[in-house]
Amino acid sequence: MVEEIRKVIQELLLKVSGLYCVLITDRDGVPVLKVLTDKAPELATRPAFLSTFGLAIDQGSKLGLGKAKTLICTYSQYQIVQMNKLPLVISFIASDTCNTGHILGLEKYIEPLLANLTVAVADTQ
Amino acid sequence: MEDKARKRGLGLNPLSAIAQMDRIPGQVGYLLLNEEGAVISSAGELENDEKSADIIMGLIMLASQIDSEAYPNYEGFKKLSINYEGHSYVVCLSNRKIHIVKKLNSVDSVAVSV
Amino acid sequence: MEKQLDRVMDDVLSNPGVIGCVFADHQGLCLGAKGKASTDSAGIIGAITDQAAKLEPQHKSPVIVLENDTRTCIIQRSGTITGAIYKNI
Repeated sequence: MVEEIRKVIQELLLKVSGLYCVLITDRDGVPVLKVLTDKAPELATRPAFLSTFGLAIDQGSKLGLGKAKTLICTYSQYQIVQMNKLPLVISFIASDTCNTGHILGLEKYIEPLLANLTVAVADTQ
Repeated sequence: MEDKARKRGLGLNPLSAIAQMDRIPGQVGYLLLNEEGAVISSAGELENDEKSADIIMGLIMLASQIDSEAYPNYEGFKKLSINYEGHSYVVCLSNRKIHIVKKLNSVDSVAVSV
Repeated sequence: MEKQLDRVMDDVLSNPGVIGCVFADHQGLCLGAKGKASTDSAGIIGAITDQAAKLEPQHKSPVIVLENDTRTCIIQRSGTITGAIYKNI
């Protein structure tokens, strides 16, 4: 099952130029599924970095606009797009010039894959 | 209009597609690709132009993902054209092959103006 | 702030046959969408113009037209903004 999901995500990586990796993790940044290209910055794929998303959306939710769905961070060389699918978090790491809208558009392709993974993560918690 | 009909005709008669592509008015080059994007046949300015072939394959892939809200139960596009000021590329998918024609914009077939 | 764009989009929609339009910035983020067009397609439209611009980088960006028997989609970039218009034939 995981292999099928990995295959779909690998195809998505090819479709968006400048997208380096897609990570599906739990809210502590523990990876459930990692699909990387060789350009992916290693530091950003570690739980220590990815888990900050959990804190950030908790803060974001306090703005009184409801639950935060997506977090986009742009850096000098990279951009990180993270989506809130709790108990899962999807993280996209891409070049700073990559088409952000195109990454956001991948949500509808990845979402249907998550159902089984969500059950797996929910069981262990 | 006649020009348009002839381009459509490409799809109807794949066997003589190459001969027909040669006859398109204003044509300055063509490419015929298989499903994987490999060049089957080419001529004119597009002769062995694998770079353009790759770019157009990428475009076709992107075009297949376009807006599902505007086009519900959408069955795909039949023709893709890329129009520059003096010339244009016309792309048709037919019989599991991709036909690409580069042509000059003549007076009677002005590119779509927006 | 987006009043002007709103007005442009209303203008576009008032043309016969037009069913929707969407505008995206250079990052592929949606600036506006009206009619039968979803904001999600802004990214893909940006990606299509980026890809088409690679074809002849020395020329200014082309007009891209997608057609089938009943519908047309016209995409063009101007400066950093990309616009797409959906039409019924």
